[in-house]
Amino acid sequence: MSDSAQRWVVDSIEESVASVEVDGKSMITVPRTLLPSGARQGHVLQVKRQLSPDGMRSTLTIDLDEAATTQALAESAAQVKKGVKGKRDPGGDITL
Amino acid sequence: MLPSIGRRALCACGLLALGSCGRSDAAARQPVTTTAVVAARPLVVRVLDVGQGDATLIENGGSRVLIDGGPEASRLGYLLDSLGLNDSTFDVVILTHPHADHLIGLRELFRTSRHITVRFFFENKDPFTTANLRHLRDSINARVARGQLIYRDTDDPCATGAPLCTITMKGGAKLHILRPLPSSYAASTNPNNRSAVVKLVGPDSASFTMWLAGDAEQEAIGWFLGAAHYNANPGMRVDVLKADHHGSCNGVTNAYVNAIKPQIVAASVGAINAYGHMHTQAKALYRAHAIPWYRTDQNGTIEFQSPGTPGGKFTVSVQRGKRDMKGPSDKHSTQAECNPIP
Repeated sequence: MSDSAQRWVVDSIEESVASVEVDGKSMITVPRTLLPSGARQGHVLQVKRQLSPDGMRSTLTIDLDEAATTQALAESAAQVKKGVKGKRDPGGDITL
Repeated sequence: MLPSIGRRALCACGLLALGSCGRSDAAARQPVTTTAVVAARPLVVRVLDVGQGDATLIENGGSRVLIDGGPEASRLGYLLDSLGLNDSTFDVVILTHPHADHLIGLRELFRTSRHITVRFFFENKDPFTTANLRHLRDSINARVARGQLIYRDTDDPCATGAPLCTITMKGGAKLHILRPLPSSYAASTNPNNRSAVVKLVGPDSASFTMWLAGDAEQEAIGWFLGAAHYNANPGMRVDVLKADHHGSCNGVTNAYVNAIKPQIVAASVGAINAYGHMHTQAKALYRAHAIPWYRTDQNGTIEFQSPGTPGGKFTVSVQRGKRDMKGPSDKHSTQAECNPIP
């Protein structure tokens, strides 16, 4: 059986449930206890799944990826800065 | 089919003079009286049934505002189709905070095939790591670069440093956009507590007011009532409270409800959700304050309509069910801040 890997991003964490973005596409909810105890909202997680040759055991390894999290945060901040270079906003209250 | 919502609601509200309920085309072409012109500026607020998430559509005098977009592009897309909102303009779009259940649906507004114009987009611009947010911001930035959209930070909603920005809709309704709990506060590491706040005031302020604070939790609520002084400016007492955080017990306090004194609570919640929303403690608090609630999982889209005239009263209509209903996912929360709710 082949192994597989996914990139998860923790979108939100509540009482006992975490909402997770999988590979930048779908959203799933998982038990909070499944995540590393240090996982916080916005953290990037590397998820590996290994199946035993007989198909009787699935092993899920979830690693907190601090480097990928830092990089993604930096890219997000850069994206926001890029967005302020557009149309000049005169500011103030708005009358539609 | 959803298109019946608007028509049925108008009829239920007894606003036949406005001419939307079952009138013929000939009748629609009749000259309107001065009274009718004034009356033809109703404020319509729909807490849309988007499942476990938030999306609120506000229309007044031809102006259109969307606060959050719900958790699924397909769901908001369906609603856009059903409500005839393709090829239209959304004057203002507000993303209260960047969680997926408020964000993903908004991406549908930028789908090229929908030909939707967005004039102003507000969000807190916090760095966050999800691809959904990155894609949405790519779409926003592309329109900003083309000069088609003004992109504001809810931390500085007027782009002048003021904590409050007022948007006046064509029908006279006003939206006050209030900055969220500042990012310098420790509690703000929870994105829920970075939710922007909107106070909606009808064309006649006595006719309808509403408070919407995204998923703000108790720390942020304490800041609204304390350091932010929102109870003094712009004032927090309103007719309708959109339940913070989908009816979670961590999205309400007794002081909050005492400040807002809502006549009705509207909770946007999915029937099958893993969070236990609405929490039994939140419902018990509302019940103790004699505040009825409607909820999208049991009632479908919740529509509030105000005629917008002095002395006019607002009405509420729902697609199904009655008020104060239970949901299949409701549960008692074990969170410390809910036992008891302060």
